[in-house]
Amino acid sequence: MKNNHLSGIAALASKKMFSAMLLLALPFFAIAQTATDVVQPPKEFSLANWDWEFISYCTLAVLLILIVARAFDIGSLTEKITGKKVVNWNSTNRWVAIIFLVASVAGIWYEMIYHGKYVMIGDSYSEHGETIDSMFNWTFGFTFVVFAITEALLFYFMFKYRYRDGQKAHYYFHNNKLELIWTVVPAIVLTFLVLRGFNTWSKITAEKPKDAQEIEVFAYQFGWKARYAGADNKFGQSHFTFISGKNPLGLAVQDHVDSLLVDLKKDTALLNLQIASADDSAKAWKAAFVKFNTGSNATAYPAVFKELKTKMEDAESGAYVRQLKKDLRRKNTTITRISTYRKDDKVFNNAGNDDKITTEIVLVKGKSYTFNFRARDVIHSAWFPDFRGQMNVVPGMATWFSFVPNKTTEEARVEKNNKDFEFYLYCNKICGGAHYNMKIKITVVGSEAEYNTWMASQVPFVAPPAAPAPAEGDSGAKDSSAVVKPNAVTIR
Amino acid sequence: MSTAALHTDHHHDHDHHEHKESFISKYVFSMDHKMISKQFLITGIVMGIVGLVMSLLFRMQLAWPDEKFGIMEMLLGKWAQDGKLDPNFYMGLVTIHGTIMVFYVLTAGLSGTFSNLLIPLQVGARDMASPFLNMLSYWFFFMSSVVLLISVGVETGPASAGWTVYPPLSALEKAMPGSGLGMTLWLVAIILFIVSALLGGINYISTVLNMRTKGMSMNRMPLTIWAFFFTAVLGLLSFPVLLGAGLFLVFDRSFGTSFYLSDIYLEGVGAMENIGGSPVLYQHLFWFLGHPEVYIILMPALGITSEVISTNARKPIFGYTAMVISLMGISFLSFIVWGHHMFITGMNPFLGSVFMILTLIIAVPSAVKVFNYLTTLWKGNLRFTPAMLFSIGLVSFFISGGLTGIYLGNAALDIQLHDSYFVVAHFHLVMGSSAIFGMFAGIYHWFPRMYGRMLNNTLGQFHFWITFITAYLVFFPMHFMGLAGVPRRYYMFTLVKEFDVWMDVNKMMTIAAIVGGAAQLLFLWNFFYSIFRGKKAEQNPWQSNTLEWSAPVKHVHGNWPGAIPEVYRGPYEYSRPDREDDYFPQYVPDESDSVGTGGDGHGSAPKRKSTKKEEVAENVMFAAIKRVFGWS
Amino acid sequence: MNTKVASKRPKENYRIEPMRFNLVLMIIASCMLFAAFVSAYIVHMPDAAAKNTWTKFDLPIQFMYSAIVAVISSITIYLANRAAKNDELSANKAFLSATWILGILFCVLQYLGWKNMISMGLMPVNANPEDISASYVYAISLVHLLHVLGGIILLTVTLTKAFRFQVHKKELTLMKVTHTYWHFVGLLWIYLYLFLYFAG
Repeated sequence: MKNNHLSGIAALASKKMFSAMLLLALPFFAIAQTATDVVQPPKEFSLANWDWEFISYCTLAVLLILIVARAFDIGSLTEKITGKKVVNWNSTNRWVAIIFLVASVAGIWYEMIYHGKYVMIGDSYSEHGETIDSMFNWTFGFTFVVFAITEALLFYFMFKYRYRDGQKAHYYFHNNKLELIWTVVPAIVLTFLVLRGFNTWSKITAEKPKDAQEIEVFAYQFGWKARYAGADNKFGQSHFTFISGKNPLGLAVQDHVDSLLVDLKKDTALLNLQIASADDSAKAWKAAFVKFNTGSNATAYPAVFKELKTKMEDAESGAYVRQLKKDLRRKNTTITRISTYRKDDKVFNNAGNDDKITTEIVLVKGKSYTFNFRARDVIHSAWFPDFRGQMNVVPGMATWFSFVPNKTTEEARVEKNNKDFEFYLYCNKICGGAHYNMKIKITVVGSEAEYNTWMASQVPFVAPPAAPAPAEGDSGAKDSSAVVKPNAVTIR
Repeated sequence: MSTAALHTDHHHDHDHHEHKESFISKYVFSMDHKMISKQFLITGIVMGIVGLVMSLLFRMQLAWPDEKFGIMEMLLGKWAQDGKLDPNFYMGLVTIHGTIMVFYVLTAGLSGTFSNLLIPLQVGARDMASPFLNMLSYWFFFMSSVVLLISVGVETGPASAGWTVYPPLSALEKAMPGSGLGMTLWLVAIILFIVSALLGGINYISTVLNMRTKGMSMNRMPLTIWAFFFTAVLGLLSFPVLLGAGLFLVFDRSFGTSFYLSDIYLEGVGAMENIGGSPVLYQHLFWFLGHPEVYIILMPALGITSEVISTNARKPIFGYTAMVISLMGISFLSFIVWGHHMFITGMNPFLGSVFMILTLIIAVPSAVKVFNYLTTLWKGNLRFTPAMLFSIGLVSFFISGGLTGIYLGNAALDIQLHDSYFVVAHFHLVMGSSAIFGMFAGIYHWFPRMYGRMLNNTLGQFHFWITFITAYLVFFPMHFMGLAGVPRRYYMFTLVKEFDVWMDVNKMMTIAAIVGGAAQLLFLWNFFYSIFRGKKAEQNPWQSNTLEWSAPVKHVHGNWPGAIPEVYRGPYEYSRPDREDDYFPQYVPDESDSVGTGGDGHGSAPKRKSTKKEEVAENVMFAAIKRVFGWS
Repeated sequence: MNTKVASKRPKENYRIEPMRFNLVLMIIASCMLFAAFVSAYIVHMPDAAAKNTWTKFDLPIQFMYSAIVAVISSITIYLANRAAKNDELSANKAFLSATWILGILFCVLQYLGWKNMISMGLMPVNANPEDISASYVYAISLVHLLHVLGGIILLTVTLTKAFRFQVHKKELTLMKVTHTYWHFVGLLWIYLYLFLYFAG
C-alpha cells in the first residue's frame, strides 16, 4: 500500500491538475471567443479529408521504432532472468558513435560532390566580393581544422573510454598550462581573423566611392524598382507624401503632385461629409441589420450577417466616426506637407522629369556603382548574393551599398554552365506574405554601348514635350559614363 | 546509505502534513519549488509539442510546395484551404515557432524547470527565497502561454513579423494580416512572460546568494548553480529592456505615437503621419535583450551538461574555475555584442567593427568550455546513460554551431551570410539543438529526483540516437544552402530557378524532421508512462555527489525532513585515488578528517584558505549592500 | 497549509532577509527599464532633432512640485521607519499616513502635469508626429507612475498592518521594504525630472 502511495496520489493529482488547468484556461478561451472570431473549423469533419497515406506512413514509422525498442527491452528482460548481459549499452554506444562519425564524414563528402561548387562560397561576381571570399576561406580553414579535431576526439573518446566494471577514471581536474594554451591559441587565431575582417569590412562600408554611378533602389510590398538619373545626370527629389498610383516612387514632379493634391482634397471633402452624416448612416445600418436579421438569414449568409453586424456595432460605438476623423487628420497632414514642399522651387526643380524608373537593373562590368536604398512601407533588405552585397532598406533612413561587378551575366552563364542563369536582388528581411517573391533581375553587360541601348529603350518618368527626343547616340553614351554627382536626395 | 536511513525516520511525520494540504494548494497554486518545476516542465513540453508541430508543417510546405496536404487543412482550417498553406500563415507559423521555442520552451521550460528544481536542492535550502513570487512566476508564464496559443486562433492570424517583430511591419495593422489582433496578443503574451521571467530570476539570484547551507561556499557550488545564477542575472538585466521596447511598440500601435515609425506610405492607406521615429531604435533595444537571451537559453544547458558529464564520466570536471570564469565572461560579454545582429542595418561602420571585435572575443570562453568538456571525457569511465548521451550530443552541436558563429560575428562575412540559411543552421545548432539536448539531458538525469521513478533506458537510447542523427540531417545541410545564397523565411523556393538544386535536399531535411519529430513520441510515451509506472528510483541512482540526492526520494516540504545536510567538499570528487568508491558525495563527512588530495576537487587553492578568502569577499559584499540601503 | 508546514520547519538564519534582497533585485530590474528609456531618449534626440521632429517644450511646473512632494514623502517615510524601530507606534502611524497622502498627492500632481501638457497641445494619444519628445515624457512618467501606484499599494498594506499593531520593533520587514521602495520611487522621479529637464 505504502509503495503505491505516491503513484496513486500522483495519478489522481495529475488528472485533477489537468482538469483544473483546463478550467483555468476556459475563461481565456471564452474571452478570445467573444473578442474575436476563432478560426473556422474545416468545412466538414469527414475522415475522407484526412491524408490517410501520410498518417499511415507516420504510424508505420512510429510502430517500427517502438517494435525495435521493445525488442531491446525484451533483451533486458532476459538479462534479468538469465543474469547474462544481452545488451551492454556502454559497448553498443561505443560502436554507434564510431559508425556515426564515419557516416557523417561520408555524408559531408557526398554532399560536397553531389552539389559541387554550390556548397562552398567562392564564386563572387564583384571586386570586393573576392576579399570576402578569401576572408571566408581563411575562416573556413581554421574552423574546419578545429571542427574536425574536436568532433573526432569527442566520438573517439566515446569509443575509447567507455565504462568497464572495476575501472577507475583518471583523477585529473586541473592543468594551468593546458588551460592557458587553449585560451591563448584561439585568442591569437581570432585576433588574426578580427584584424582581417576589420580591414575587409572597413574597405567595403567606410565611405561611398566618389566616382561611382548612383542608382536608387526602391523597395515596397512586394517588389523593387530602380531609378536612374536620366539624361541630365541629376536625380529629382522625392518624398513619401508624393507617392500616388501614377507616381509610385514619390518624385517631385509638378503634374503628378498637383493631381494628387486634388485627389486628397476630394477625399477630405468626402470624409467631412461622412462625418457629418454619421448619425444617419448609423441609423440606416441599424435598420438594414434589423431587416436582415430575421429568420435563418444569419446562419444562411454568415458573411453578410457579419459585415452588417460589424458596421452597425462600429457605428454605435463611435469607432466608425473615430476612424473617419483619424483618416481625415492624416489626409489633412499630408495636404499641408505637400503644399509646403510644393512652394519650394528647390524641391520641384524638374530634375526628376527625365529620371528613368526601371523594373530591371543593368550594370556595366568593371564600373563602380552606389545603390541608394529607399523603402516605402516596411523594412526590406537588399541582398545581392552573387555580388556579396547586402543592406537593409529602412523607411525614413538613407542607406547605401557600393560594388563593382567584375563579370558579365554571359560570363557567369558560361562559368556556371547554365544558359538561363540570371543575377537577382532578393529581399532578405521578412516584409509580409509575398516576401518570398520579391526580387529584381540584375543584368551585367560587357560594354557601355549595350547599356546605352538598354537605357534608350527605357522611358523617362515624364515624357518630354512635343520636341523630338535628343538623339541617343554617342553623345548620350558620354553623358551617362560621365561622373554623376551624388544627389539622390530625399527631403527631410 | 546512512543518509537514506536517516530520512526514512521522518517520513511519517511529513506525510501527515502533506495530506493536510488542499488539492489546489498542492498541485495548482503550489508554492513548493519542486511542484513548480514540474509545472514549468509540463507546460514547456506542451509548448514544445506545439512548436515542433508548427515546424513540421512549414517544413512540409518547403519540401513539397505544390502538394496538397489534407492534414494541413485538418489542422489549420481556413489557412490551408484545399491543403495548401497560406503564405501569410506560413509567416505566422515561423514567428510563433520561433517565439515558442526561444521563450516558452528554452527559457521557461529549461531554465524555469531546472532552476526551480535544482537551486534549492543543490545549495541546500528549504525552498526559494520567496515561494509566493515563485508561484506567481509560474502562473504568469501559464497565462502568457495561453494568450500566445489563443493568438494563433484569431481571425486575422497570429503575429507574423518574425520572432523579432521588427516595426514598422509589426507596428502597422495594415502592413500584413498578422499585425492586427494577433500582434497585440503576442505583445501581451510577451509582457506577461517578461514579468514571469523577472519574478523567477529575482528568486534564483536571491536563493543562490543568501540561502546556501553550511559549508556550501560559492566555489563548492555545482556548475549547474553557477549557470542558473548567471542566467538569472542576465535575465534580470536584459528582460526589462525588452519590456521597454515592447511598451514603446504598444504605444506606437495603440496610441499613435512615433517612436519607431517614420516616412511610411502604405498601400491602401496612403501616406502615414508619422515622421521622426527610428525603426533601428527598436532593433537596438530588442537585441540588447536578444543577445543575452541566447545565453539565457544556452547557459543552463551548459551547466546541466557539466554536471551530467562529470557524473557519468566518473571524473571531476576539468577546470572548474575556468568553467566558472568562462561563464562569467560569456555573461558579461553578451551585454555588449548585440550590434552583431545589426551589421547591415546601415549602422555606423566603425560601430560595426567594435561589435565585431567584442563578438569574436566571446569565442574564447566558449572554446575553453569545449576543451574542458573534452578533457573531462578523456580517460574517463563513461557510462552511456541517456542523459550522458544527450550531453555529449550537446557538446557536438555546440562545436558545430559555435564555430559558424565565427563566420557570422565577422562583419565582412555577415554582409553575405546575414539572414541566409547559414544563420538558420547556426542558431538551430548552437542554440536550438544544443539547448534542447541539455534539456533532455536534464530530464533524463533528474527525472528520478522529480518523480521518484526511472525513465526507461532503452527508449532513451533510441530517442537520443534518432534525435541526434535527424537533427544533424535537418540543420547541417542548411549551411550549404546558405552559402549558395538561399534566403531565410521564404515561403517557397520554386519561384527562383537558382534554388531548384536544393529541392531534394529540402525534401531530405523535411523527411528527417518528420522522423525526428516522431522520435519525440518515444520520449513523450517514456515520460508520461514512467511518471506513473516507471521503475522505482533509488536514493542516488547515478552515484552522484551533489546535495540533491541526499534528500528523500519522496518529496517533502522543506526538502530535508531533518536538518539540512552540511557540505564538506566540492561537487565533483569522482574517482579519488584515496577512496574505494568512485564517488564521494559533498554531504558525507570526511571520516579520516583529512583534506584529501584534491582540495575542493576542482583544483582551487587549498580548501581552508580559499573558503576563508571567499567568505571575506562575500561579507564585504553584503556589508556594502546593507550600508547602501541603510540596513542594520 | 504551507504556512503551517513552514512554521514547523527549523528556521534558517539568512544574512539578509530574502524579501528585502528580492526587493533590491526588483529595483535593479526597474533601473534597467528606465535605463532603456533614458538611453533611447538620448539616442533618439539628435536623430529626430536633425529631422525637426523633436519639439522643445518646458516641462510642466507640476512635475517639479511632484519632485518636491517626493522629497517630502521620503522624509516622512524615513521618520515612520525610525518610529517603528523605536516602537513609537502612534508616530509611525502618523508618518505613514502622511506618506500615503503625499503619495496620492504625487499622483494627482502627475495627472495635473499631463493635463498641463495637453493644454500646451502635446497630446498623449494620436500625438503630432513632431512631438516625439512629449511622447517620451508621457511614456516615462506613466511607467514611473505605475511604480508609484505599486508603492501606494505597499503603503496601504503597511498602514493597515500598522493600525492592527502589526508593525513594531520586532516586525520590521514590511516596514523596511516599504521604506526602501518608497525611497527608490522618489529618487527615481527626481532623477527622471532632472534628466528630462536638462536633456530636453
